[in-house]
Amino acid sequence: MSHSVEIKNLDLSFGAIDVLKNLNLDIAEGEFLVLLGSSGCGKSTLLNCIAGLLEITDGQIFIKGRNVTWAEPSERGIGMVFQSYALYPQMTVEGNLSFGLKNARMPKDEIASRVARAAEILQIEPLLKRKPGALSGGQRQRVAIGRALVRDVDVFLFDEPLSNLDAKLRADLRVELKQLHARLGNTMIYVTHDQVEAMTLADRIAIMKDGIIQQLAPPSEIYNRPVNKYVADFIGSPSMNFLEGTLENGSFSAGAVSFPMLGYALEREGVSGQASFGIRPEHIVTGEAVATAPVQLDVPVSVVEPLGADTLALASVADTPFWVRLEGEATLKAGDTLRIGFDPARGSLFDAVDETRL
Amino acid sequence: MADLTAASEPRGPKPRRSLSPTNIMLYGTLLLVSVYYLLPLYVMIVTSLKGMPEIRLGNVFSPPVEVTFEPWVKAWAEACTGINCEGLSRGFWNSVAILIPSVFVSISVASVSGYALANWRFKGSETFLPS
Amino acid sequence: MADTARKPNGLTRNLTAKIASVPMIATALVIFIGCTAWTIYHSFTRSRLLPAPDKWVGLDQYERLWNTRRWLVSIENLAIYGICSLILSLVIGFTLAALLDRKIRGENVFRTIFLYPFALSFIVTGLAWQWILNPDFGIQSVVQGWGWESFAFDPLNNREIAIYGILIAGIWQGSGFVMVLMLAGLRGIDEEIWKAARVDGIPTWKTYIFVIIPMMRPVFVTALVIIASGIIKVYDLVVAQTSGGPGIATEVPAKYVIEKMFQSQNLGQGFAASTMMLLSVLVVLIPWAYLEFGGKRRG
Repeated sequence: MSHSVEIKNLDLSFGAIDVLKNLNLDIAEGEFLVLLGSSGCGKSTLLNCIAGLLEITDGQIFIKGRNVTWAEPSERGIGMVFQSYALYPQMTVEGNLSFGLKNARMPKDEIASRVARAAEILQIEPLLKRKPGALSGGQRQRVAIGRALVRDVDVFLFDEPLSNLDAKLRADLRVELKQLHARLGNTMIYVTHDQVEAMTLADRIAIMKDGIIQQLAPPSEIYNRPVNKYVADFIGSPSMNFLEGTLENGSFSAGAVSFPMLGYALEREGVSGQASFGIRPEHIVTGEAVATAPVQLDVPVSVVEPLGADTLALASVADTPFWVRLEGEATLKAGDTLRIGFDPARGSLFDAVDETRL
Repeated sequence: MADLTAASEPRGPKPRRSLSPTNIMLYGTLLLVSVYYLLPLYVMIVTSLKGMPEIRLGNVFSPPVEVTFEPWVKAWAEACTGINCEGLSRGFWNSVAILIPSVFVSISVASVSGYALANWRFKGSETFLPS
Repeated sequence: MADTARKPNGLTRNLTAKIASVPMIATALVIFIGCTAWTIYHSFTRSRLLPAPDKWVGLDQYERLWNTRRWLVSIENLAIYGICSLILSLVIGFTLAALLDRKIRGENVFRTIFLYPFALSFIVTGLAWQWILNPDFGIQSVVQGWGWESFAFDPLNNREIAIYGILIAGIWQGSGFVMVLMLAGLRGIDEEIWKAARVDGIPTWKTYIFVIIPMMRPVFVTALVIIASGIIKVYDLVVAQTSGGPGIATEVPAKYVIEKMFQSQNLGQGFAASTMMLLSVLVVLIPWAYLEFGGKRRG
C-alpha cells in the first residue's frame, strides 16, 4: 500500500499547552480520511499542520513519500478548503480560481483549461464572471473547492467545509463531495464535528480527543466495535445507553438486571470486575421480535419523541436513562410499560476505570 | 530503511535565523520610523529641562548639561498669560470645569438619542446615524 | 392590510422614542442647519461686525474674494498640502499597520509611539517641529556640526517649500491615527483568507495589494473622510509653525477666514470664504455619499 500522507511522532505545543501529542497517522493513496472530534480536540490543528500553516514542535510530515516538514504550504502538493470559504471577495469566481496559478506564472491556456475543467466538474460555469458576494453559500463552497481543484494536487484538505451551510444544502454537498472523490480518486483529509458527515464520507475515521487519536478505523468498525467509552458515546444519535455494573463469570449485572454475555467476543478471556455495558438504542427490539432476543425486560417509558421515520422512547433500566428506537408508527405514550429485548453480543463492554473496551 | 533516511531529514520546527533579511527590513523600518515619531517628544522633554541660557546657546537635540525642573514649576504655577500669572494650572482647572458638564450633557443627549434611533427608524434617521 | 390597520395611530406609535429624539433633532436643526444658513446669508452682505445684518450686496464679497491673491495662494497651498497629506497619510498609515500586523515583538510599544502625536494639539506639534526645522537650532545645525558644512535644510524660511515643512508636521501628527484605523481593519480580515493565500503560494506583499487592500475599501473610505476633513480645517498648525509666512507662502483658507472675521473685522468677507470652504467640502462629500449609500440602496 503506498502512503499518500504520513505523519510521524508529531508534537505541537503552544507554550506550555500541548495540543497534539506524539501523533502518528498513515493515510493511503486515494483514501478519504475524516478527522472527527468535538471542538478543541486538535483536529483542525492537525489539518493545519499537514497543510504547513502551523509550525510543528516536533516530528515529521511526508506527503507522497517526500519530507515536507519544512516546506511552504504551496510547495506541499495540497489544496485546502476552509470553513468560511476564504474566497477573495473582490475577484470574480474566475479570478479566484486562477489567482494562484497566475502567480505561479503558468501559461495562459493551461490556466484556462484547468479553470474550465474545475468549473465543469463543479457545475459553476455560469458563475465564472460573478463575484463571491453574489453567490449563495453552497455556490461559494463549490468555488472554494474549485480553487483547490485547479491546483491539480494529490491531497485535498477540508476544514469543516459544510458547517456554515444549512442542513439541506449540507446533505446535498455531502453527496457531491462523495461523487467528487469517486471521480478524482485523490486523497482527501476532512475535518468535521458532524458524525453523519464522518460516517457517510469516510473510508476511515480518526476520532480525536485532547490531541490524541482515540480510534482509527472504518466507519462500521467505529460504530460496532468502539475501542473505548468516549468513542462509543460520541458516535451515534441518540448516543449509546450505558449500564454501570459488574462483570463476573461472563455475566453482567446492574442493579436488578442481570444477563450472560453470550456470544460477546471479549478482548481478553476471563476478565471481571466493575464495568459498563453499552447498547445502541437502535439495537434494542420491541414487539414480536422480543420473543427471540436473549435478554428481555419490561421497562417504564417516561418520554416519547416521534420523529416521523422512527420514534424514540426514553425508558429506565436499573434506574439509568435508556433510549429505545421504535418504528415511526409506534403508538406509545409516556407512562406506558414497554417490553424490550436485546442481544448482548451487539453491545459493548468497557472497563469502569480506564474506559477501554473489554 | 525509510526510518534510517528519515533520521537525517527535516524534523520538527523549521530552523529560523532571527536575523533573517525579512526581519532586518521589518524591524529596521519600524525603528527608523520610530525615530521620526519620537524626535519631537525628545526635543520637548530635553528642552524643558534646560535653563534659558542653555537653550539660546545650542541645538535642540543636545541633552541638558544642567538639569533643571524650574520651567515645569513655572509653566504650571507662575507663567503669565495676559494679566493672570497662575500658569497652566488655571487653564487646566478651566478644562476640567468644561469637561465635566460637557461629558454629562453629551452623554445624556446621546443616550436619549440612541434610545430613539434604536426604537424608531424614521425616514432620514440615517442622517443622524449612518448605518 | 397590516399597514392600513396601523396607520391611524402612526403618530402615537413609538411615542416615547419620538419624544426622546427631540433634543437630537433640535440640536441638528438649530446648530448645523441654522448656523450654516446664517453664515451663508451674511456672506451676501457687507457686514463688518457681529451681530450686524447689513446691506445686501449680492456676490460682491465673492468677487473680491477670488480677486485676492492671498486667498488664491491659500487655495493652492491647501491643494498641495491636502493631496500630499492624503496620499502620505494613507500610505504611511497602511504600511505601518501592515508591519505591525506581522506578529512582531513589542507591537504595543510601536503602536504607542506612532499614535501619541495624535494626542498632542496642533499648537504643540507646530512649535516642536518649528524648533527641529529651525536652521540655527535644529537638524541643519546638527548635521553641519557633524562636519557637513554645506548641508542646508531650512524648509520653513523658503517660500517655495515652506508648505512642505508644515506637511512634515501634519503627517507626524495624523498618520498614527490612520495607522490605528488600518490596523483595526487588518485585524478584521478573516484569518482563513491569509491561509488560503499561503496555500495558493501568493507572496505576502501580493496578498496585501491584490486581496487585503481591496477588502479594506470601507476602512480606506473612512480614513479618507477623516483626513480630508482635518485638512480643510488646518489652521493652528500653520499659526504655530510659520504664521502663514514667509510672506504669504503658507496661508491656508481657514486662517484667511479667521483673520477676516476677527482681525480685519470684515464679517461678510470671512463668511464668503467659509461658504466657499463649505462648498468644497460638499463637492467632495456628495459624490462620495452617493456612491457609498446610494449604491447600496439600489443593490
